[in-house]
Amino acid sequence: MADSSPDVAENTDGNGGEDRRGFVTRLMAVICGGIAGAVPFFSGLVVILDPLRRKAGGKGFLRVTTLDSVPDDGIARYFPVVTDRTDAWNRYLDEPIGAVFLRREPGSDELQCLNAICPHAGCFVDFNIPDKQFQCPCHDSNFDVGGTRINPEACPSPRDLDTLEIDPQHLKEGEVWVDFKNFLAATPDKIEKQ
Amino acid sequence: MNNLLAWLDDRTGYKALIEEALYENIPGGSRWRYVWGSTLVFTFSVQVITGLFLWMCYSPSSRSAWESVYYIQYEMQGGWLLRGIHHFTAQAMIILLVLHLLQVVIDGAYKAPREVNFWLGLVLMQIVLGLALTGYLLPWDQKGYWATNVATNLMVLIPVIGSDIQNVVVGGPTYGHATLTRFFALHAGVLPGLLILMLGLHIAVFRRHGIKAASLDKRPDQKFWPDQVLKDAVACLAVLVVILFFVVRGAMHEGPAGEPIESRIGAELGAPADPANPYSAARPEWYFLFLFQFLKYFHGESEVLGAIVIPGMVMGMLFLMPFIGRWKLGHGFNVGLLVVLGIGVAALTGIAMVEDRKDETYQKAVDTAEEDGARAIELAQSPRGIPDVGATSLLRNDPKTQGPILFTRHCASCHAHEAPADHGNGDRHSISPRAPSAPDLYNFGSRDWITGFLDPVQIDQGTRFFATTSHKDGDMVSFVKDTLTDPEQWTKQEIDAVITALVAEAGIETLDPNNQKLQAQLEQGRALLKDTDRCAMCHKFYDENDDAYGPDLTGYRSRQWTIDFIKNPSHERFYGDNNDRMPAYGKDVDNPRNNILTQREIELMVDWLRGDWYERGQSTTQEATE
Repeated sequence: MADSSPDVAENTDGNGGEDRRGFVTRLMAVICGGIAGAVPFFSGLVVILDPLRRKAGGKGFLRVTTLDSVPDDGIARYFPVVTDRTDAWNRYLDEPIGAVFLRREPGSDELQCLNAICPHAGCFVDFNIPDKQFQCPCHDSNFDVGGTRINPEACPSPRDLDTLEIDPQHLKEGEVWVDFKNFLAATPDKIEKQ
Repeated sequence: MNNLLAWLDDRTGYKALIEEALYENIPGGSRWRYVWGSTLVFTFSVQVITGLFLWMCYSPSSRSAWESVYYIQYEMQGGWLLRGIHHFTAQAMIILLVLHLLQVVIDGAYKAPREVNFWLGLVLMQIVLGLALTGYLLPWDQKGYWATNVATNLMVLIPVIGSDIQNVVVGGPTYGHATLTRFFALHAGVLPGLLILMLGLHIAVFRRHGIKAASLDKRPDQKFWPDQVLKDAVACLAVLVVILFFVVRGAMHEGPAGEPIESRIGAELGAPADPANPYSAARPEWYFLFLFQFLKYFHGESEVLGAIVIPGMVMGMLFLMPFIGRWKLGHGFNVGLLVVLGIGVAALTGIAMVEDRKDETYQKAVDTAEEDGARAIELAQSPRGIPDVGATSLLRNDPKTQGPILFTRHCASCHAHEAPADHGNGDRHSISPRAPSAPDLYNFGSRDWITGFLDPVQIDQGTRFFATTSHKDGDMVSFVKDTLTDPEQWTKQEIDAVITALVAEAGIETLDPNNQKLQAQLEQGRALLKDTDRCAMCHKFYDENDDAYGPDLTGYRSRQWTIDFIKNPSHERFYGDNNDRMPAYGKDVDNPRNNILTQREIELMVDWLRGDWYERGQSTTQEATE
C-alpha cells in the first residue's frame, strides 16, 4: 500500500467506521448465505454417508455342504454359500451370498476352503481341472491348487486366494460349516469388508 | 406483430441475445473443420432427450432395473430404438470427444488466452467418462454388473479413504438397491447437471475468445448464421445417421429361429445380474478396454500405479499443456505426447481384443453369457412372465440352465451326459468326465436308452450303462446276456412289449393312444412286468412282489421315481445294500438342511435329464403344469 494514492488514503482515514460496517455486512452476507446453502446440502450428505456408519459384521459359521460331497481327490469344487440376505429394505430367505472352493487331499479328512472371489478386482475364479489351477477370467491371475499365486511377481493379484475357517466340530460330524467373509480387493493385506 | 416483438425486446432484450448467439464473427469464414464442437453439443442433447424418456420407463432397484429395461427393449413400442440411440450416442460422444481434443491440441487452440477453456474441456471429458461408467451398470445385467464391480473394487487403491469412498459409492459392502439408486442419481442428475454447468461456461468462454482461425488465407469473414450453422447441422445429421446405422445393424442378419428381433437391434441386454453366478466374460465397454489391458501389467502392490498414479499423471500432463505450450518446443511436445498416448491406447485396445479372441476359455464364457441372456429373455416372454421375486429367479429356476451346472458339480465325477452333436441345446448339455464309472444319463428313460439297456451286446459295452460299477457283473447283466438271448424263454416280441411298458412308466415319450398295436404291446408288457416268473421275480411292479431285491419298476424313470432315487439310492425300493458308491443326495426328510442337494435342486436336475423345460412357443411352463 506504499504507493496508494492520497485520495484513497484520505477516504480510509475519513470513513473508517463505514468501512468497518462494510466488512461486517460482507461477513454477515457470506455467513447467512452460507448457512442457508449448507443446511440442505449437509442434511443430504449425512444421509448419503449412511453406509459408513453400518457395520456388516460376519454372519458366523454357515453350513455349506457335507463332507461326503467333497471327494478326497484333490480337486477343488465350487459350492455356493446360501443364507438369508438383506438388500437395503428387502430381506431374501436362503439366497446365495457368495461361493467357496472346497478341496480334500486323498485319504485326508482335512478340508481346504477358499473364497471364490479373486483378491485382485473381485471377479470369481474358475478351477481348471486339467491344469489343477485357479484362474481368474478377468485379469489372468493364476493360483495353484492351494490358492497360492503361481508367480507372485507376474500375478495381478496382490495376495493369495483368501482362506476361510471351517468349524472343526461340525466337520467331525461330517458337515462343512464355513465362517464366510468377503475381503477388500486389491490390497496386499486380507481386510474384511465392512 | 412487429410492435409486439419490439415490446418484448424492450422488456427482455432477446434480440441482443439472438444476435450474440447467431451472428458471431468467424474469421476466414465457415469451415467443415469447425463442426466437432457442435456435434458434441448435439450428441449431448440427444442423450438428454432420450435419457429423459428412458427415465420415464426405468426403475432403479435390484428387483426392477433389469425388468424395466427388458420391458423397454422388448415390450414397449419403439423401446429398442430409444435405447439403441442412447447406447450408441454415448459411444459416438466418446469418439467425438477424442477428435475434438485432438483438433484443439493440434491447432494450438489450448494456448493463451484459451487455457481456461481447455481445462473446462478436460473436466467435461471426465464427466462424460463418468456418465459412461455409471450408465453401464443401470440395466443390471451380468455384463454391466461384473464390469462395474471391478471398477468399484479398484477404488480401494485410492490412498487412505479408498474403502470409505467405495462404501459410499456402492451404498454398502455389496451391490444392491442402494448401488442402483446412487448410480442412477449420478447418471441422470448430478453428472448431467455438472455437465450442463461446465458446458455453459465452456461455450461462454469460447465465445469470449472466438474461434481459433484455422489458417491465415484471405477468405472473407462470415457470421455463424447461416453458413456455419448449415455445416454444423449437416455434420450432426451425419453423426445421427451413423448412430442409427449401428442401432439397426443387427436387423441385417438372421437370428436363431424364434428369437425376437429386439435381441439384435438397439442395445444389448444380457442375463439379469446374479451375484452368485460368476460371469467369466466380464469386460468393460470398448473405450475402457485399454485401461483394462493396462491393469494386467501391474502386479500386486504396484497396482496403484496402473490404476491411479499413471492415469492421474497423464491427466495432469493434459492439464499442464497450456503451460508446456509456452516454450519454444512445447507445442511440438504436446502434439507428440498426444500421438504417443493415442498409439498407446490403440495398441492396448488391440492387444486386449486379440488376446480375448485367442482365449478359448473367454470365448466359451462369451457364448455361455449370450446363451444365458437369450434364455432369460425367452423365459421372461413365457406365459408365466417375470415373477414378483424378480428376473434373477428366471434362470435360477430353469432346468435347462441349472441342470448342466448342477450335474457338472454333483454328478459328473462319475456320470457322463454325452449328448450327440446335433441335439440342439448347446455345448453345455454335453458333459463328459475323464473316466466315467457310472451310467451315461443322456436321454435316460427314452425308448432308445431302454432298448440299448436290454440289448445283450450293448449292456456291458463301454460306459453307457453299468460302466465300471459292481452291477456290471450283477444279475441284470447276466439276465440280459443269457436269459433274454434264449428265444425259448423270451421272444423278440415280448422284449419289445417290456420296452414299451417301461417307456410308458418313464413318461418322457408319449405313446399314441390311438395306435392299437402299441396299446396291445403296452398291455402285454405290463403283464410281463407283473409276472413273478419274469420281471417281477426280482423287481417290484405296482402291487406285485413287495420283497423284490432289484429296483422298483413302478413309475420307473418317471420324474418322481428319479427324484426319489437321487435322494436315496440305497433305499430298499432301489438298490438297497447293493448300491455301489452313489451318495444319497436328499436322505434326511426331517431336516432338509442336512442334505447335499435341496428338493428344488434335485427337481431342476431331474427335469433337465428328462428334457422337461419351457421352450419358446409352449403354452404353459413346466412349473405351471405341476
